[in-house]
Amino acid sequence: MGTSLSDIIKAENISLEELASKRIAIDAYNTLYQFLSSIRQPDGTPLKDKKGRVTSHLSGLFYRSLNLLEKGIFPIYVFDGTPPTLKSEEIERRKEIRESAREEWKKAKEEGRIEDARKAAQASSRLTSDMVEESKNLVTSLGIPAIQAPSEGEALAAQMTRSGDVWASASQDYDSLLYGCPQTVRNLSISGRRRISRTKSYKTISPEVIDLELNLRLLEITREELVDIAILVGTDYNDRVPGVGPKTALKLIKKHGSIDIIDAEGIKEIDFPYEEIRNIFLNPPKTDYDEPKWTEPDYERIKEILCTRHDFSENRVNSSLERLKEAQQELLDAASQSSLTDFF
Amino acid sequence: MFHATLDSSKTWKLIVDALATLLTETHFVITEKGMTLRQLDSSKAAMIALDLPAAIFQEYECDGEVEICLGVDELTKVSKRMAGDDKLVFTHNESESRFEIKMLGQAERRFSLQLLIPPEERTKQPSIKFDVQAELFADAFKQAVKDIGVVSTYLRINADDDTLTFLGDSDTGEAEVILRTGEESALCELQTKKKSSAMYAINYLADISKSMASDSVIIQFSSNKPIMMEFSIAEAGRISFILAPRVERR
Repeated sequence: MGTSLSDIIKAENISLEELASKRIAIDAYNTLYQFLSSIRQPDGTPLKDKKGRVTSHLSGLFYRSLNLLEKGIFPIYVFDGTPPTLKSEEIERRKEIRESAREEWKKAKEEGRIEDARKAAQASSRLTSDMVEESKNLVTSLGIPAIQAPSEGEALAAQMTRSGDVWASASQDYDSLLYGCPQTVRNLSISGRRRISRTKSYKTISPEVIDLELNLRLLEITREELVDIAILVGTDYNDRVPGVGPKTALKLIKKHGSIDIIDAEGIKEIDFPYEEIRNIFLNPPKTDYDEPKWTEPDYERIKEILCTRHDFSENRVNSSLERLKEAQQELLDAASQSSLTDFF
Repeated sequence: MFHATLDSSKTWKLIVDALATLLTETHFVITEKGMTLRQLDSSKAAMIALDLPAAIFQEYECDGEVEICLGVDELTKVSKRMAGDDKLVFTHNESESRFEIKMLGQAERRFSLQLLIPPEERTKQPSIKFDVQAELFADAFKQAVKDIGVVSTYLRINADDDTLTFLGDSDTGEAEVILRTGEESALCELQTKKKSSAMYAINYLADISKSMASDSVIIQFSSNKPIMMEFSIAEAGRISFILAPRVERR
């Protein structure tokens, strides 16, 4: 999903502690899909309640949000709205992948190929509208604002970052940069190890922040040119141009300035409406949103959603909420300590 | 060049303990007049100021100004190795950028510590005017901090003309310690220009009061302003702690 620009974009490591007291807009769908694909049993079966409903997303959302709140971070979840029509092809493609992955999962599981089953199961992750509603419900009962974007969530997160309502947008893909988001945080709250795709090994990863201005300066390009590079590499709205990776795309755009005059380079004809795609990134619809407000968690409502409705262990939920209470009290105490430098 | 001797390792241990309550790194500025240190703790809520005039040392020599930056952990570990009756010799070895501490007792022991690079900016002591100045037994202050700490994570100090009150409360309950001036009182002196009230974090006060090594302590504060706690060390020397107040933001 999203555009892969990691080869040319520089990010700086940042610790969660450094993000304390900062507001961060989180791409909700991006995060929920991560939970759905990663929070699974070894054979690929997601977490389920007694009625067989998937709860991986709730578990992930709950514990990740607690982790952020305990660190003193102010998260805000931005949910996608109706995707641009151009995306329908991509969405159709993803649906097909999911469906065939689902078949493969069943088969692999029957045949006892555990590793294949897990892989296929991950690819078959589906997010239904009920799951989205429940997620919003859980988030708001934690006292965290949930905002509905009219279209792409990342576009709204970028707008909020530009206006200074949040400090950064958090997402795993690079589309935020294309939407002109000044600061993007990747790997938010993913601590330590992550499984490398399709292997049994792990690598250590830590949160990192991407500064758009700095990257454009380093690459000596404009944001418009970065969008063109992304289009050549492939976005949610178009396939990549064969034979062009991020580095080649960068070279081409720096040489020619834009996609419009690039056909000389032996590149196959660009047969998709790139101007329209450009427009999606450069001129996303401006959205009015309510000033985000964080409130005290509603402990009873959280327990009702997780324990009563979805059979989460009451002990575990209680002890996690207790930890949150303590951490928030500590933060409050720390916040009321003034600094000596105020009196110099 | 810096060279000094100190007959009492006990004094040095008390100094290092006081520095260790707030700092992870110590930055001494040494001149012919003596040794000084002004540093904020990492959260910038508190400051320690140390003044050791040349007179408290037996031998003392310093050319120009010498900056000595050392890790507190190392200093503490070395001072733990000192025997009670050791005589100490401090030398700054410029060429090898080492600070040397020699302990002369039953054996001659020498510790040579790697110097750290001093910070670019020096902390200045803020010039704050205080409305209240009180002198009281250090032990009475330590006990008051412990009393209030039973129920609270902060301590409120109120001062009027003849009374100093320490208060604290929480969900658990309330605690109060009252000191009035007068004979046989632990409060030796109280000057109040203006009735004042301020609140400070117990965890800081507890650490600071533990390091108070003298019989009495001078406390100065104003309403919702920092508090300064000052006590002497080796008679002519002085250690001051300044702590920023807690402010209510709810």
